[in-house]
Amino acid sequence: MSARTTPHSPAEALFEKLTRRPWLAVLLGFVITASCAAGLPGLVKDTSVEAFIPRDHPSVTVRDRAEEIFGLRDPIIVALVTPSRNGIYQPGALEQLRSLHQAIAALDNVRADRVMSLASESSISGDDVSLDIEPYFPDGPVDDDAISSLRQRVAAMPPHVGTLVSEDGSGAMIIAELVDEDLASDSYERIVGLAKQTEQPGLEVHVAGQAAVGGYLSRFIDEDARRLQPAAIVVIIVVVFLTFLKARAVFGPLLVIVGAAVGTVGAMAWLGTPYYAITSALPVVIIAIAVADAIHIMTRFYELREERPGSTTRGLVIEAMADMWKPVTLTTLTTAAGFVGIAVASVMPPIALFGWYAALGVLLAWFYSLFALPNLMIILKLNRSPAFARWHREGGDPIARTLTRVSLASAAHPGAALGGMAVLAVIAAVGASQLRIDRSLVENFRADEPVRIADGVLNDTFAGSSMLDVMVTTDAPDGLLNARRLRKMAALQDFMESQPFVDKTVAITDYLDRLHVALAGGPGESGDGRALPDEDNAIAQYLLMYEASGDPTELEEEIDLHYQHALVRGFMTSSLSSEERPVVAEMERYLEETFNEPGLTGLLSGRVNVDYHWMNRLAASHFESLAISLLLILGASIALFRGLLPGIVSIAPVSFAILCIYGVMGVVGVYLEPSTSMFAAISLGLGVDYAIHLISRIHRVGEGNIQTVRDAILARFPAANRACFFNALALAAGFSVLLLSELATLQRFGGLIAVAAVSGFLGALVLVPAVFALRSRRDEARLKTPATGHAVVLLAFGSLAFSLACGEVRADDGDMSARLVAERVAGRPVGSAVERELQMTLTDRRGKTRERGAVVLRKTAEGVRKIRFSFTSPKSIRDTTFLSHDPEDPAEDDNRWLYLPATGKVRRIPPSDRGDYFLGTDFTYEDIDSQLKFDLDDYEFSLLQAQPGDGDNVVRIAGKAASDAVRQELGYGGFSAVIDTGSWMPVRIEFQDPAGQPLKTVNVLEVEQVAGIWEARAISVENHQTGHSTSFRYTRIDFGADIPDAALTPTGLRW
Amino acid sequence: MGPRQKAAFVLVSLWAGQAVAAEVETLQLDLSADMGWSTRDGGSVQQELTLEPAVEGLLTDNLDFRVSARVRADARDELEPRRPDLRTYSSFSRPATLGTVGTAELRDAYVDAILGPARMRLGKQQIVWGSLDGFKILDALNPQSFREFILDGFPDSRIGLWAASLEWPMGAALAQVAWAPDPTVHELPRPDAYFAFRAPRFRFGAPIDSPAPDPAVVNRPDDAWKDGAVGARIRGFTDGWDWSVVALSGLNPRPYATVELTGDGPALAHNYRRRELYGFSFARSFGNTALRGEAAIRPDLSYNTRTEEGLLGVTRQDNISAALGTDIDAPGDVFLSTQLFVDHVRDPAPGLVRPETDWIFTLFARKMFLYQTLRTELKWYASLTDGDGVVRPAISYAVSDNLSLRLGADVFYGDGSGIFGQFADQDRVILGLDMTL
Repeated sequence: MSARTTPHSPAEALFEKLTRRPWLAVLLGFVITASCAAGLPGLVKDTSVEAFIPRDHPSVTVRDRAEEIFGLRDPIIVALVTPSRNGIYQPGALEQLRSLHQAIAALDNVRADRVMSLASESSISGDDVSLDIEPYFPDGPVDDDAISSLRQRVAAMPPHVGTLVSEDGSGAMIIAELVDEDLASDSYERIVGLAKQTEQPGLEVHVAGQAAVGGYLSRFIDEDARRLQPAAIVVIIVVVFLTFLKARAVFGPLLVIVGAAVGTVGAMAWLGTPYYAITSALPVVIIAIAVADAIHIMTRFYELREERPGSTTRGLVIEAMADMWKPVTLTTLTTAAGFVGIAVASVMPPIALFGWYAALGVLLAWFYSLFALPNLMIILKLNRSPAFARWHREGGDPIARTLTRVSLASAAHPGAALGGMAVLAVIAAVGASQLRIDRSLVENFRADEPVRIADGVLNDTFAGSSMLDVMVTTDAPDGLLNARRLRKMAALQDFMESQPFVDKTVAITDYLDRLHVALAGGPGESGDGRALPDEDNAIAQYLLMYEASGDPTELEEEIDLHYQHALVRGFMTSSLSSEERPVVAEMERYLEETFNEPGLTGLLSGRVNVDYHWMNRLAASHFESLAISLLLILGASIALFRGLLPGIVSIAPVSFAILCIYGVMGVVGVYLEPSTSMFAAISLGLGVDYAIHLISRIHRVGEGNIQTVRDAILARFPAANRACFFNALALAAGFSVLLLSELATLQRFGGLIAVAAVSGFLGALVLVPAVFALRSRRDEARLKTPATGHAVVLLAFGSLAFSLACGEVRADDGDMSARLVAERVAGRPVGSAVERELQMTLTDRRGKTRERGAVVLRKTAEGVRKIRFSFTSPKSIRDTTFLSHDPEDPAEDDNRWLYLPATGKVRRIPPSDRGDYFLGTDFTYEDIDSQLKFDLDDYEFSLLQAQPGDGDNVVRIAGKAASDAVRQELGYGGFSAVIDTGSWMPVRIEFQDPAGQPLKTVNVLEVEQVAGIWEARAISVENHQTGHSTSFRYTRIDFGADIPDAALTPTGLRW
Repeated sequence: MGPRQKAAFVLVSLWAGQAVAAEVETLQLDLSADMGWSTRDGGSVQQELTLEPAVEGLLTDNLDFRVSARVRADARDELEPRRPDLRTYSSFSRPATLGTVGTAELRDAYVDAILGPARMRLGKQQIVWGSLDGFKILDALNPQSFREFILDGFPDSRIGLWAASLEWPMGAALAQVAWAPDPTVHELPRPDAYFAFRAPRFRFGAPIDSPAPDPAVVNRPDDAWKDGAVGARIRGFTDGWDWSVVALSGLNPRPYATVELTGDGPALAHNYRRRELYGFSFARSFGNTALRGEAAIRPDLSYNTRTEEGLLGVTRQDNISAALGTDIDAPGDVFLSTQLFVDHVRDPAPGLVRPETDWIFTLFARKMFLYQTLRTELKWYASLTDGDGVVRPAISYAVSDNLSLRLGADVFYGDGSGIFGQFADQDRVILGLDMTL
């Protein structure tokens, strides 16, 4: 970074204003956060699956209609399972079934009339004259005779086989519908409690069903929210601490992440947006993202702190903000673009809202980072970070150096790097082709969760837990009292049962079949299909007799009271939507082509159908949102870098990372589901940040002294790489917190983003240097073509000659020698006379400071440089005046005087060695006299490669003491200096002692052009061997001052 | 308080009043505490507190002022036992006594006026024309106090005079004339003071152990107009040389003694006579060495003679004094200063109470540590004539910009008749503290 030659840039002026009242700004931040937090108690939770699909979607309206007509609710299913075939037909097991049934029916939130099991249902039998609808269970004890009868009657009731009793007789189930599904969680817990009491050796009891899953999910979301968010904050704090190794450094990022997360969720509450299942990941997402801005800003701050140890915290904060507001804003925009891509493309309200609110969170993080963070940093008076202690001396810490080596290797072998990545991309693409989009509600839970085990049991033992329904609707009441239509329904059932994973269907036709067999001696289902009467009237009579003989409500799930609507319920043993998808498609085709006719319509319904449509939309919206996000980010990047290539390169690493993850998912068999589908767009928004930071440091190769990609990497990558590394670490660690979630889907979501965060960073680390190195080679190759080459050479010579003629040679002319740089520095105009007011701060190694004020007059006339240094404070040395006359002719002796007001006399003092320290400061007399120039006779100069952190438009030169005499005289064995090629002012000079050990670093903190002359307004010097430091800040510089000659003579010192 | 003192008081009050109305730039209070112990018996010889308030400011754009005072109290009262003998002060410069323990005095009270190219300082002031350490050749306008012999610095021991000083440039040089209508002379220690003169040369030839009462009579001329001092100096800087020439006329601040008959019988009288001084100085740097020199002639200076019978006499001889000093910025950041001082009485009369020629060598070494916060120094004054001397090691530490601590010792050696040897029993250790508020 070059010395700031425009100390009052608009950005600085802005942050100057914004940091005038740090406490007020931080307080304002807290007030905003608290205001948002005030809304949190009003937050509404909506953990239902239905929330993911718009309420007006046909699949939902049909399902709702079916539920309304047939009184369906998502039930809780209790399965009693024995290890042996027909094991349920034991007195003990059946008694347990009955008592559990009664206990469940007695629960508050359970509809007693809608609890079904063998204990409540009846069999149908009869003869020509009578219909016998007999409860399976006797009123009294269940003895062997009753069991034998029950078993026979169940076998003769196909609708109950596979549903109430497993086909092999090993288990039975109790199906309980709830009064209020919002209380499902509580009911689930109670039923689980009853189930546990029922369990005994040889009899397992499992609780499953949609209501159970919903209840479970609700509870888990609460627990997740309570655990994950604090855990994420703790993890982020740890990462921030590791980044800066300063406990005090964590408070700033903490303010940002809490402000952004609370602000976002608070905004949701105030706006009445429900807190969906997926929303539990939102605070974690925001926390992980929010810290990135803070890390980059504080990294810059600590870098500056090292460069300018004497500067005030506020000054450094302002400068860091002025440097970082732009990249932080741009990465904020790209990240927000990623989320907006999700929001725009997703048709699922929770995901769309997730996108919008995440974008809001990112913007809030930006707001806190730019407005509250700098003020808190000022209040905290952040000192130097040990993590940056040796930054300038060693070119970064071990992390930065290691990462930079990787980038260098990539730039050195761009073909190999890009080729390797291309091969990986092809492999990943092959793997990605295996990627499937799928969903399983129970797979939200870990494999050992009871609800997931229960679901497996239901599918393995019974007809299945997934329902695919067909709602059959006729055009008028009694429309289903039609034998032909019922045969069509039976045919539909047959077709459904021919589909994979459809174990069983139950409809009114099954009951009519039983009634027909009982009353008319039909063949029954065990024979050639369902036996249905041929006469329409027979159907009406059968139903009338059934309702008269048994529970009149018993068939309400199969047919409505007006005989206009009927429900065909298919039981599927699948748990994955991918298994259900072809069945639904086939059913839709069948209904359309075969079943539907004027007056008779079959519409698919049930959760399987809803899932089918939802997942279809997901497949479309996932790639759509990814494409939109990519385009938005690409557009932002192209605008940012004003070039297509940097724009493309900015999205390439993260796209590569996402492709690799798709590949791994495809190969391993992890499917893309609604919640995990967001990972790609989120990763894109996050991962592009690394590339943007790195590209911004490499794409202007050729400017200043950064002539090659390698130069750029060496000079600019260490800090950026390190910040990106910790940024990635923060993201990975933050999202890894989701691995602690009780929900497997959130675990996968967190894991995927964590891997994407790291791999996106690694991709950027390798790909960005490689692409730019390749471009650089291509450009060079183009320049080497004869005609162009000659033109370039001629142009270069011409430019150089012109520049030399104009006296404006710049370091980036390539031919510039170190000597020429030193000459330029030595030739820098300093004005013939200047009056300055100086504030000196001397700081010892314990941090104790001493302040000095002085008026400094300098005038050069007749070949003599005269400097008068009069202290104005503290009182104890006020008016003490030092005067030096330094003839430009080195053959002439220097003259020095000291006026001590206490003695009242002007005393000639011996000229100090040039290497002696000046008036107790860390500057030597030579430093003061030379005015940040290098005596051309003192050193042998050489040009150095720019180092990390040197900045832009600078050149680095080294000086080696020309002789032992010079070495001893100056106290310097040599130096290395970073020279700003705009002002020819050193930005930083690192001096070595005569033994070659690091001695001190002079940092020119602020440069100002006054009356056309570059002046160092603030300078600091730190002696590394003593820990002492000195800073000079000129509070007034007047080049037009009329300095009387007498003031610069020994005779005029007293005045 | 006499009429002149009253007039001075009124004048100072008027200035002070105007100063209050003016723009005060600096209001400062220096506080020093000094604890001294004799190395001979370990007894305390000094428990002194010094307050020096000062105010500086602007009366108008072209008129600055400075008023400072010094209040000094010593609980041991050995440096100035009992009430100080202040008869050597003119009536309007005399300090006020604070009982037996101390004094209060006006140190500075002047205005600086810019008069075109010229500058005038009017009021009580110190006019410093010499640059030697420990000894004076050209720095002769202001008298000094020998309360602590030559051990305290000139700024402390120099006695301010009411004076008018005018400076104006003359080409590349600067001319200065000063008129001090203030016939104050050196303040000498009382015979029972810690640093009372013991050597015969300072006691008008009286033997070392003979009684030395206070002078019964001090014949100090006290007519401001007639007995005031007037001097001129031209100084310049030419081709690397600092130079100055000085001419001065005023009371010789050092007395010669006579015996007078008083109502109580014969008594020792201190007498002061005008003297002139013509001198020059130079300084120049050679590499890392600064060379400086001063020389002066004082024609017809009055000296005492004493016969073997003990009869006091007075003689007037020319005095020539010169000094050559080198200041070196030695390796290791050591500041090294040496001076060779010679003071010669031309054609001395027999029985002159002092040597014809004094040769004195001084060495001053200083090294600063911890960024000039810790200062160590060693001063050595050696009389090459008498073979005596004093060694003064000292160390001081600036705790802060406004507070420093110091520890030093004065170790005398040599014969009791020598300039330094006379204090061979007066070695002391001093612990001091300086504060600026």
